[in-house]
Amino acid sequence: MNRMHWPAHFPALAGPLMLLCLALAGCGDNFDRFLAQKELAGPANPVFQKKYSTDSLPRSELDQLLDMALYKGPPEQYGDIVLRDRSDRHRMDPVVFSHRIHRSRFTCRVCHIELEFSMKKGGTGITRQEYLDGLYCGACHNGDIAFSVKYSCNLCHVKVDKQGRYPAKKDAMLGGRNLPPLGYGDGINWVEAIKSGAVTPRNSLTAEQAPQSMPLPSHLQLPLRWTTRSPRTLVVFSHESHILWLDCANCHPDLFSIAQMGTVEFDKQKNLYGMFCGSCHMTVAFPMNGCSRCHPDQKNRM
Amino acid sequence: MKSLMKKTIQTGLAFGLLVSLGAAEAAHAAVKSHEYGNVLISQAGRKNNTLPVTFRHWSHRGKYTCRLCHVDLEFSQLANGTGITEDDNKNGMYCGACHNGKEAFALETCTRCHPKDAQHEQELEQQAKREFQALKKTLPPSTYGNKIDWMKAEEDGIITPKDFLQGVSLRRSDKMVNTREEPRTPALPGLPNIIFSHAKHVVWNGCGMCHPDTFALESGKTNITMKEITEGKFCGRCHGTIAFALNDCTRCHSKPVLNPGP
Repeated sequence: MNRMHWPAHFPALAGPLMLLCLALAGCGDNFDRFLAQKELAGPANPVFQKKYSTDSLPRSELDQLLDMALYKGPPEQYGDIVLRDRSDRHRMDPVVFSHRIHRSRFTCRVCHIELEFSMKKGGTGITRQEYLDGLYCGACHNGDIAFSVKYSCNLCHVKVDKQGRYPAKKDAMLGGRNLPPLGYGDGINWVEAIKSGAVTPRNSLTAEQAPQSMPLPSHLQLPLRWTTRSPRTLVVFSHESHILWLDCANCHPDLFSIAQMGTVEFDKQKNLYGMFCGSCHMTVAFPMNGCSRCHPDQKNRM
Repeated sequence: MKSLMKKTIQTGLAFGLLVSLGAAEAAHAAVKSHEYGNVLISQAGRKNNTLPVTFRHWSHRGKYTCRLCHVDLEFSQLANGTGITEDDNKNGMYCGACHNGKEAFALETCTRCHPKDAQHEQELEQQAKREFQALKKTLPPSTYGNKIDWMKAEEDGIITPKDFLQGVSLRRSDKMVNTREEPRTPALPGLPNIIFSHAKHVVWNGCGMCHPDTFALESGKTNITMKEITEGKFCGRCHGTIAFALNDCTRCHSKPVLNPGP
């Protein structure tokens, strides 16, 4: 019975199958050649092959998504958060918080670990009583480390018009420094700035809360390399650059699983929607216009 | 056609943002120090159409050891695993064992735990947050979880958690207590060695909290991976939910390796 069906099905199946085999073989070749060109290639630094469980977004749609999602505003206002939830209720002007000004003085972990600021806008639920008691903003804005929350209200509470426009926050100290420039996002290459010593942000407010030096396991000291859906594109991720600003706990194990390749459903779309890397790299850290910083063989997108 | 596609993407983007915001909330729910260790007891609530009770570990663990509730009072370590009913409490079981007007406030003051409505729930939460901040100021700080170093607070005698409840607990035999420190080598080269201290755990847990259900009695027989711990197995049963958080790497990985292997 089987024999009778076999010739009838064979041509219909064989064509696509052979094409698929050829395509896969070709991809492998390209990929190996690509790896050989990269200085990171070597037996000590393996490439982690990612298996994708979801369908990829068509190229044209991904292009449109990138066009819409990527930041194109003025560099001074990249990373600004307009907090109006409670201000509106108390008929105050909203608070405009500028990440750009704060991050030259403090690392991410000071506010997002020690001071418990939520990574989600409005997620902290800051009340006036709390910041007057020295919590959240009040931990620094006490007249000691920074200007007091009791005075100069209008430095934070700013008029925002109906289109969402407001005068950009100014920082005299930031302008006076020679910070390494960047063509997108907030215009400053912060990783280079901290590595070169152009900025020396505090990494802890109190000695008790200083990060304990947990050495990275050997295989995480080199930049990690992952495959992507496109056979010629590789992702390079450096723990070392991230740990300059962040605590292990900012990402692990909530955003990223600690098991090797354990973060499932990790793809470009979800990043653009603000998940995974997009939690920071769409809003505060350099935006995804800087393609080549993670995909070394890609051009940046302005 | 193009506008349609754009619209689809916009809807997708909006939906994606919603999903991601939801995910972010879930992922970072544990970050707030005053909410770390909170358990929502909603089992009875679902049946009787009342709001769930928020049980706050931080308000109890300074006064009682873990063992007292989880062994002597038979509270399950899983949320809603105990199946507490009003009758049980009135008969002096579970919450009712202490909340009798003598050891702690009486069951009759229902609204100290059971919120009347959504607004009252928020008021209770705000009040708890204030109480927590006041408590936190009196105890040694830490960086993660409750941001309170409970272990140090107990060692320094700032808190003396009760381990015995009249009529419920049996006297513990101190002869059985193991105070060994057990070094463990992590699977990844370069990571500091783990020092597991029985002495530090015994103060809070006695023996029965962990043995033999979570950990085999024979030394080194339980094969533990960090991934399993983050999934709530082994050490992760308490560390990551109530005991010091899993982010606090160096509390366990405490002995640096001088010559990390290749």
